[in-house]
Amino acid sequence: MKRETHQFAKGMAFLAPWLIGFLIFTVAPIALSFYYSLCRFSLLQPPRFIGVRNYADLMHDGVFWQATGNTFYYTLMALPAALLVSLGLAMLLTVEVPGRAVWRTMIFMPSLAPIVASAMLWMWLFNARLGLINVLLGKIGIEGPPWLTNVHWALPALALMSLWGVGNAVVIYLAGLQDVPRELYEAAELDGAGIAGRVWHVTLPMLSPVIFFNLIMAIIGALQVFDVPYIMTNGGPAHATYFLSMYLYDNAFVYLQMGYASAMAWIMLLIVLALTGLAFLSSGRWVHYQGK
Amino acid sequence: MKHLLWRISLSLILASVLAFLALGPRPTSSAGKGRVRIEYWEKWTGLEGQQMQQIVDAFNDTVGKEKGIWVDLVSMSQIDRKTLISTAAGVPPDVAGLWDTQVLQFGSMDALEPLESYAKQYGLTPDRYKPVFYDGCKYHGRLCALPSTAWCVALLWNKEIFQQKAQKLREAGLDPDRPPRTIAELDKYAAAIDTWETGGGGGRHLSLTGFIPLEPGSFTNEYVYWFGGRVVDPTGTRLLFTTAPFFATYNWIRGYSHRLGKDSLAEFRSGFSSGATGLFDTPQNPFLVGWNAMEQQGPWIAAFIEHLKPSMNRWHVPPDQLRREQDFQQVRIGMTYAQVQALLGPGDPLAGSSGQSLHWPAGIKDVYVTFVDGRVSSKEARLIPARQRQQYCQWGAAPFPTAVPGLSNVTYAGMDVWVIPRTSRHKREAFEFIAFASRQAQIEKLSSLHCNLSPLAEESEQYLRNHPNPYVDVYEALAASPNALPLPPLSNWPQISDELGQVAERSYLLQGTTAQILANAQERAQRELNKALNVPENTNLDARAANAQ
Repeated sequence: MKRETHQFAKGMAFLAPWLIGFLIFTVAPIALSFYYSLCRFSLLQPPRFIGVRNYADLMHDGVFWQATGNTFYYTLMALPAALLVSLGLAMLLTVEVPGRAVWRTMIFMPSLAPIVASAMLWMWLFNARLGLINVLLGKIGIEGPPWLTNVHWALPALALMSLWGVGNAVVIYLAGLQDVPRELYEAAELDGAGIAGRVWHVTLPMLSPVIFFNLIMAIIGALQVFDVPYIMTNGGPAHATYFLSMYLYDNAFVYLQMGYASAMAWIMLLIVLALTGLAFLSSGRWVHYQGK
Repeated sequence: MKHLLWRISLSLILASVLAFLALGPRPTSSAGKGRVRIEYWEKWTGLEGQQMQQIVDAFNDTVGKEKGIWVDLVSMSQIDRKTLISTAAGVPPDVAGLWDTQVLQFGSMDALEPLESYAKQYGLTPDRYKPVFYDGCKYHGRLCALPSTAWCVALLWNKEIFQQKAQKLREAGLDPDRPPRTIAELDKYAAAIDTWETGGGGGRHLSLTGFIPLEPGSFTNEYVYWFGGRVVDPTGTRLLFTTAPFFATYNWIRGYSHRLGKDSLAEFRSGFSSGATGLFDTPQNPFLVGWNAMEQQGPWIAAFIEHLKPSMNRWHVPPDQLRREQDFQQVRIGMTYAQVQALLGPGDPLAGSSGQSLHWPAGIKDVYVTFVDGRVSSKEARLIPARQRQQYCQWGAAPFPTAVPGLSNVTYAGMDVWVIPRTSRHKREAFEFIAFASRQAQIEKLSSLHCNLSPLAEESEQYLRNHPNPYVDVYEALAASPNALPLPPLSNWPQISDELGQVAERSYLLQGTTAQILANAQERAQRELNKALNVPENTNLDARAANAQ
């Protein structure tokens, strides 16, 4: 027993630097943010406890609901698109074609580009008068919209741009695809399955844990989107691309309403938890693990 | 064995930490050793930061040396947020260079050191400053900051476009040789200049606009000033969004969407850098490109014009002088007089230089070359006086038109400020630096370098003559006008300002009627203001305002 205690102490001693950091820089701020969400707090003055007033005010805050709606709408557009495109690209990249390594590199490279540089590039691409997208659309007789200045097109434009960063997910899918046993494809082929059948009955079930992982990461990423709209549209036009994370940031650091922003952060956390929980609950039906 | 490994590991870690502490990196600069070190955070980065460093260096070499003070300038972005967090953490800088918005925000939270007694001691009295800037440094009558550089906005107009559209302007009864003076005139000028083109698909597109109220969009929330209105009542407790000047302002913005079509405007604006992001300091600025004939801008635009489209400052420069300005760049130290003459032509001797120094007119500059032993020893190009430069400009600056008869020289004036956070450790030394930087010579030097205005009531002749903005006189006169108005005195102005920004966007996008948009904004913004002022709900603001008066 004494020996075990000694071992435990040693383990804790080695763990201590991380553990102390985790407690000070993660657990304490999370706990404090919950307390602040129940206060009026401007950072420069001591927090004043006001109960659930911030949460009640949020329920009547039109901008909060608009930002929440925008966040969900964006998630609904960007999430399936990112999953489908990244999975499709990964499958295409498994095909034996000349220069396959080059194609893989090209698809992964955009995700390495700094976000500000990517955003500036896409602002040019979306430029209604001079942008490449509208110029190409014009070549086929389609008059492109003013992507970033039209209330109806700005959000879809951002969702479209989010596909630029699917390289990471593609790499993960590629790794997953390497793990699909060849014999399963051979068996399916012997059973008369065509390409679509092999994808549907072999690839997707075998890849489902990877899809599930990417889904969770994409849900969290989409709900926290901030930098791209902050740079490209600053929330406009008329709040059409104003996301929850941007409203939270403005409240915290521009309006100095740290308590209100903390309440918003907790609601955002609950939304992420709820959606992730739903994904986990549903995973029993469609996620298949090898050997189970 | 395990014990030994455990001890060796711990000893190695400990030894590494000690070695790092003993031999690790150290600050290399010993400058200012033995003096009280002042940490000065400033928002200006890049070239502007370097220009501020010149003032800091001058202080460190003179007053700082004499009084044992050393100022360390730290340039940073998002200084408002960083100052906020450091102040909250109790480790603020000794001096911070903020925006005027933060004077009210931080002042309302008692986070700034009152400066009256310091200012009085150093002779920085109210009469030394233009009223709009000194008053803007106060929160509830308490001096919380002092201005560093200042600005106000004026109407820019493109003289070349006015000439190209001269016939249409004359047909509309307008004078193409001057800018509009009233809002009604501005609208007429704009309508006469607006130009449409037919696209490849047969659709009509705007190719040139006379004026767009939301372009560049930086001062939209203060447009009401030109309509004779105010954002908040004199008590500072009730917002006035539903008053007549507000209706007039936002109906005016809607008028442009009605006339040009909101979709056409959205399409046209999406080609601008400012259309989606509000950025104006890029080559996509429609005024610089020649897509928009008039816009509202501050004095700094002259620096961007010189940098991004210098031809706009040299529109009427005679071709030979324009060539000379370019050729002057080829003059090298050591060249002979004959070589220089071949490039620039025969120069005029500089008075009192005994023929050793020559100068040539080169459009907006005079170029100077000094010879020693018949060879170039130095060369310099100096701007000609600002007023003389105006004749060469493709652009002009004038007071922004007003909608109220008899109301003139209205402008919105803002500034950069120096503050001392309440918990600063070296307040007296910090103010010593602010007092030095507030000297006329320093403040005019900084204002000129930043292409901004001097907040001081009096400007030196040299400053007005050499300022990089040819229209500095127009801007300075506007800033000194009794109709120069600062930020509304609201501690939560950033929030109210965002509300007004939405009103402008919704008006331009024709989302609802002006009355609906303003009523919604009034309700939301008033609620936020009440919160900021700790006004209990259901307070009768009318009665409160009447009592206050």
